[in-house]
Amino acid sequence: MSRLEIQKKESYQRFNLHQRLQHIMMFSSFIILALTGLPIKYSDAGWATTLTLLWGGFDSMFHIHLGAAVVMLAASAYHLIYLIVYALLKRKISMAAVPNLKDGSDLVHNIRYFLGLEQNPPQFGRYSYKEKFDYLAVFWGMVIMGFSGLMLWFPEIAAAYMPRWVIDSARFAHSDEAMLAILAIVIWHFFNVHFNPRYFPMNYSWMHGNLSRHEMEDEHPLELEQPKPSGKIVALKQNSGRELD
Amino acid sequence: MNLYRSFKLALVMVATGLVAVTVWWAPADTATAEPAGSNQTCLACHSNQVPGVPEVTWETIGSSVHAGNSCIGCHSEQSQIPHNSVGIQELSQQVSSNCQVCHEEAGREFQNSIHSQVAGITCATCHGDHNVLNVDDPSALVARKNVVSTCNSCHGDSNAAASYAESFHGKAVSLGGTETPTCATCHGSHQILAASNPSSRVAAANLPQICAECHRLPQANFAAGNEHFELAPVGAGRPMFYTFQFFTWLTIIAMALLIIHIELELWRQLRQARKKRTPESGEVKE
Repeated sequence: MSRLEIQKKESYQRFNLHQRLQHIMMFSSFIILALTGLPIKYSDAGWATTLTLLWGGFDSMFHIHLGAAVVMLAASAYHLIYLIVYALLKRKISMAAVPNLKDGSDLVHNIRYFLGLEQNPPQFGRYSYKEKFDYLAVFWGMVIMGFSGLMLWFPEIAAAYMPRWVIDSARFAHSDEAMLAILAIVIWHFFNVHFNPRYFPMNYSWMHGNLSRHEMEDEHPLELEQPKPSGKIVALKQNSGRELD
Repeated sequence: MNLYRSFKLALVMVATGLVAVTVWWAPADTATAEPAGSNQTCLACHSNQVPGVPEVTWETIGSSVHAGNSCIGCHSEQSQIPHNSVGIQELSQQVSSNCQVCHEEAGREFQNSIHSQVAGITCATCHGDHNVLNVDDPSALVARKNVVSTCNSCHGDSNAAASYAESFHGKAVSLGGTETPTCATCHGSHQILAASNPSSRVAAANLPQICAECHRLPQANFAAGNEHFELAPVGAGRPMFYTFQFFTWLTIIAMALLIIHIELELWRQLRQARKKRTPESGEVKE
């Protein structure tokens, strides 16, 4: 039985449809933005000219960049609205993604485990420190890229509210934060969800949104241990109708 | 009688047709063939026939916008045969003043520009000599695609050239963008003046209007600041320099830490995998 089939059989929902859609909007626009933005950043390179021609020339490439930017901004707006509506509907603000002291001790514990100084890895709850870092890194990146991108797209409007050097600095922030984001995705995120031997070729939960019981025990044991609440904690939802404990 | 008339009519029609065809083909012929008369005389010596006489390739002139002109139209000082030998600088000056015979307005604008005050700059410096092409021709020295490198043949070492190449405007033009400005879009072409001159397009007072040629709102705030800033810890480029530094170091440090985390995790996984495998082979007891 493949991992996919096992997951279907006994699974715990990790990402709901909204979150999966936001992720798909985010990564598809991200790939296009990177492939249409990199030739501008490295315009001197030979491959930049080739890639520009593949997009149908500079003007067409740049308009595709702006189009993909709209999709990415829409994904961020979708997410922010989702956060607000979710909190209003559930009458509860989830702190699950907010870093806390345990994340610090988990990091130290994990490094000690990697070095062989601990027998077992740290036990994570709903989100591990790695997952919180990933989420907040994208959050920070979107703030930088979104605002700097809009300032570059509408410089006349930006100039009405801020001095010229802010807009010029925004161009450096846009170009360099983009590089940071691309490296973070290709090195860190791709390792965590693709190249890590545990998941290669990929962790499929971005598609079906679920984790198996085995994966839950491995990665989020503290979440699994939480007593089944009487409607109070809603983050954990079972698909297959099985009881948690 | 009737037959004679029809025959005459047919003859006239055939003759008219022949004339029409001749007229139709004629301009194409003169465009590709050598102009008659004097040009042949010049080329008798200047087509590598006489040692020591500079060669002029007819193909170059023939494909330029001046294909239909005669040699002495531009080289009027050399209309006598034999003519005195003339140095390239002097020749260039002579021809340049002859350009203005036809290109009156461009000539007048150039005479008022800062470039006319620099010794050695002639029309040919930017437009080429025998290979002058229309600005819309992609191979022209002043075409959108080439004009930046034409300016850079003198201004290449300037901070303006470096900052333009790094700017979005410069990158877009170098990749073939058709909506972004070249040097000439802001600075003008024949009438270029120093920014300190109040009549210059890029004089501080005129800049908002120049920016507004593309960026719809003529805002003083928008044009304020230094377009050609230097990315350095001092001067106009200071904020941009520190923004660049901040993100560069953030990237280096973040990537170094993440890669260390990945490597350590892989190392641990490798040891776990080996540990799991050895008991099966029965070599290691727990």
